[in-house]
Amino acid sequence: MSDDRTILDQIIASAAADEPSEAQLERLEARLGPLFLPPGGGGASGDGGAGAAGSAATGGGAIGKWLAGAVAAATLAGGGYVAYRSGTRSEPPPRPVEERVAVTAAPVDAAPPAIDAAPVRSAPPRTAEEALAEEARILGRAQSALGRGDARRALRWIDRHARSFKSGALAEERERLAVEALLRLDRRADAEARAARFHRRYPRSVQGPRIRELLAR
Amino acid sequence: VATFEEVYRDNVRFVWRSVRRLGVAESDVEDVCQHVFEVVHRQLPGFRGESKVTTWLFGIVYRVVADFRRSAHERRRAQHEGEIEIAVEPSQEAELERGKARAILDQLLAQLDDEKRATFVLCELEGLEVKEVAEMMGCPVQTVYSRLRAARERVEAGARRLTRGRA
Repeated sequence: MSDDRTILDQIIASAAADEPSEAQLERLEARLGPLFLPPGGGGASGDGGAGAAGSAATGGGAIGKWLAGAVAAATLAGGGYVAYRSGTRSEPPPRPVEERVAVTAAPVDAAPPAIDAAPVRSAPPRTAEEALAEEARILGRAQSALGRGDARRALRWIDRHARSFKSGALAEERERLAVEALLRLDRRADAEARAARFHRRYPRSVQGPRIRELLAR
Repeated sequence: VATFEEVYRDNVRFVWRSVRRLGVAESDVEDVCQHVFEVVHRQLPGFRGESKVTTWLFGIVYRVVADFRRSAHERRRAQHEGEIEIAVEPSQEAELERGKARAILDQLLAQLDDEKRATFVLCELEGLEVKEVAEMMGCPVQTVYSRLRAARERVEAGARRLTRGRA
């Protein structure tokens, strides 16, 4: 049976490849080019594509080009719009889901780094072991999102862990990941506040020095 | 209220993944995404933020993809793709290549109806909470659970058949 699971894990993990490449995003942005112009702002026209030169982390490239010359790139600055996560609390499911998919963490020997697409379980874990596996799985996703440079997504997983396992066995690890993700998102003040809370709450944690190190970078 | 550019920047990857996972072939994802964002651009002035942006956006994705898949062109392509059989040798089972695994996932998802497929995609692949998926799909939480359960059963059964039935 565990073979089945490993295979299903891999099949599902392959969905991680569904992310667009930077080149694909550039093309899409170029095709949508005129739509990025503010209403009434004329000016730029043409194919907008070409220069793959210096697109910043998440596809600022073509958008920047379209905006340049039109209106100041004020909105480009900080990605200030905080997307969609409001802290919706997950309700316990009305009844346990019988079929469990892929409880265990990603197989160690079989490569895929893309834990991110591993199945999500909707039923709460029933035993301590299950809970730990679930904690590890969620944080594994956060970690792999961070590894891909997707700190925003990592934070979503971190929040999810915090909601389901506020004081879980891996809460300290979660907080370290949170500090790291916040720093990557340039939210230094939030990272420092979170670190301060961490040090108060877990003064002797092995994660303490690591968090200090992150903040010192 | 968010500008078009903000909506695009914050959600383009989510839209791209969703379009792909709802059943659009890789080669068509870019076209369909373009169409999604054209619709978004048209409808954004009317969006008052009654729901989350992603909820609103996913509604558009879902409809655009459904339209696309209904088109004759896509039907032909889908039939064609349905003919492709993917064999998994027992010796390879432990390490499915990524590309092959993704093709199998396409096949497994293709056996689900649109609603179950969307539920599976949002819960299992996107990692969203059931409650949030219920909002996106405009249905009770309970319905999401039952669709999810049914979808998982089909996917698991399909995976077992594909990886084993070759004997």
